[in-house]
Amino acid sequence: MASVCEDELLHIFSFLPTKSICRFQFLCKSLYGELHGAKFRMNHAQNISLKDDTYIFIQPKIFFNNFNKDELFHLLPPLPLSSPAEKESNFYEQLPRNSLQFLKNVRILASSNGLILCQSNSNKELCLCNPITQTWLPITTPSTLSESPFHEANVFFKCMNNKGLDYLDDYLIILIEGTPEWGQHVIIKLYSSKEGVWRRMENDFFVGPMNMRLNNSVYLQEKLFLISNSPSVFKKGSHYLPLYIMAYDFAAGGESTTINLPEDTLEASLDWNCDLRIFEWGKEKSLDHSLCLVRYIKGCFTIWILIDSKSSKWKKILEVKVEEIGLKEENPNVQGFRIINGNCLVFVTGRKVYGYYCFNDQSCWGLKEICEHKWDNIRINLIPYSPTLRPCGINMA
Amino acid sequence: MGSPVKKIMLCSSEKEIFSVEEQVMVQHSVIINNMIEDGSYNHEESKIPLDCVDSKTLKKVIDYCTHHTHHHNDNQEDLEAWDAQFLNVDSNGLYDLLMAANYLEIRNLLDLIYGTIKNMIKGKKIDEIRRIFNIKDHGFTPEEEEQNRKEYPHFY
Repeated sequence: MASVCEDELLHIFSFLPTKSICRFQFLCKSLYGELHGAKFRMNHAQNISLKDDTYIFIQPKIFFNNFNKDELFHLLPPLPLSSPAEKESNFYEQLPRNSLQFLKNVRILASSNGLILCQSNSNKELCLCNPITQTWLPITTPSTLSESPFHEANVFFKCMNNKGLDYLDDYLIILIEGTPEWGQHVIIKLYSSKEGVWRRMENDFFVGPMNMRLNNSVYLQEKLFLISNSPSVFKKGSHYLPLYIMAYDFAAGGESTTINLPEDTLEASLDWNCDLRIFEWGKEKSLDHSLCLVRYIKGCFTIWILIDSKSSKWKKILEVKVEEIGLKEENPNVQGFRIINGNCLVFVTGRKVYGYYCFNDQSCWGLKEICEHKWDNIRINLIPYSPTLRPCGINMA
Repeated sequence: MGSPVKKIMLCSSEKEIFSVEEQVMVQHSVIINNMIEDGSYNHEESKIPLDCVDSKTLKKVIDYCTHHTHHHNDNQEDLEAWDAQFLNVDSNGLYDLLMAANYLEIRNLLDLIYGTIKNMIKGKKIDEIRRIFNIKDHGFTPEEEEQNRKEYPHFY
């Protein structure tokens, strides 16, 4: 490439995978400094954030001493029918061994843009870490968490990538705390990375009469969504109260609004075997970017995406029996699931983890096996991840 | 179907004007999609100035978007063959395309170009990559270079 100046070269590099960058630092001395600088690392992280997560952490919810760290970290297979160029990008990129050792001893709560938010198994302290650069940053433990040591923190974590790069608050950590009273309201706290303190929002999140599933939150378009816990034990008159979703609007000063579930879920949601969860669907800025609802009941997955929150209008995009999508297992028993990358339903059976990919405007779906696991009948956390060089905090670069 | 195809005007750095189907650009370019959506583009009079994209590159970008709009139902192999042919340009041309795709935020074209660059450097030694990116003076002292070679022999 003739006459490419250093700035242009850095610009090109900022779109290439982390593994290539490691090699580039030896190309030339002035590049070495730039590639290690905060500016390049943030640009690179921002560009990677436009792409899909390429890996997934698979962590049992119970603490195990004897599990092998290689079982923690897996490559996500590429989309079925993807072009060879994309397959290339998914080459295996091993995490440094020290990092895997570290991650083995913590609970991975969430991951975004190469950073991992985790909670120590021993002292319950929170910490942000980047396993590639092997850097970490302690997060002040919220007082309520240290008082109830057996609780797992219910947090939402997302790196913010504002073009123009104001390094002020470069990630969002929301702590969602239940109150001792049954239902009614939930306390929302935001972490200020600059001051290292948790700030309680002036207005609590009013969630109505039912308990919410605090470990299943979605944040999109400045709103935090929670779904009520199934099944209902409440009676209103002679009717069971149906499940619902609540939205907390940060932009509107913490206004809480209700979103009704699609009508055809109401009856099923009273069943103890019904598992209803909410996730983010589609890519940011894309037309179909919205909240989605996934239901698993009696061997059948159904996915709806929210079309309009005011009128609680939903669109069903998938209804499928697990045994009909090509698993090679007999009597698959689904133990957990989540949507990743806004287009892939990842689910765990007794022995394996699969990805059911949606492509071509929701009309085509394809199954890929992600990995095997050995935690039959144990709840498993699925956390998608992408390697980046993102600094853990403004002062960490 | 009877209504005429809506067109938009794109203006290259040489002030040459290209008329393109609106749908073609809206589908591929995040920037143009935003301009149309927020109403900052007026169909009667405005043209979109692309001061950092020359005519030759802009024509290629439009070719890419047009082909991928009208042939998105083609089979994957044909599309890939077309893409490969499309990117059969010299490295300067590739760089110009990259900058244009970046400016207009055409994600699939960006991915395609980065895939090509990745393939260009895949498995290459440091010296070969230096040649590809035309880095003549690496600035390391002979001692530092020797040290790096010793520490990271697999890169060299």
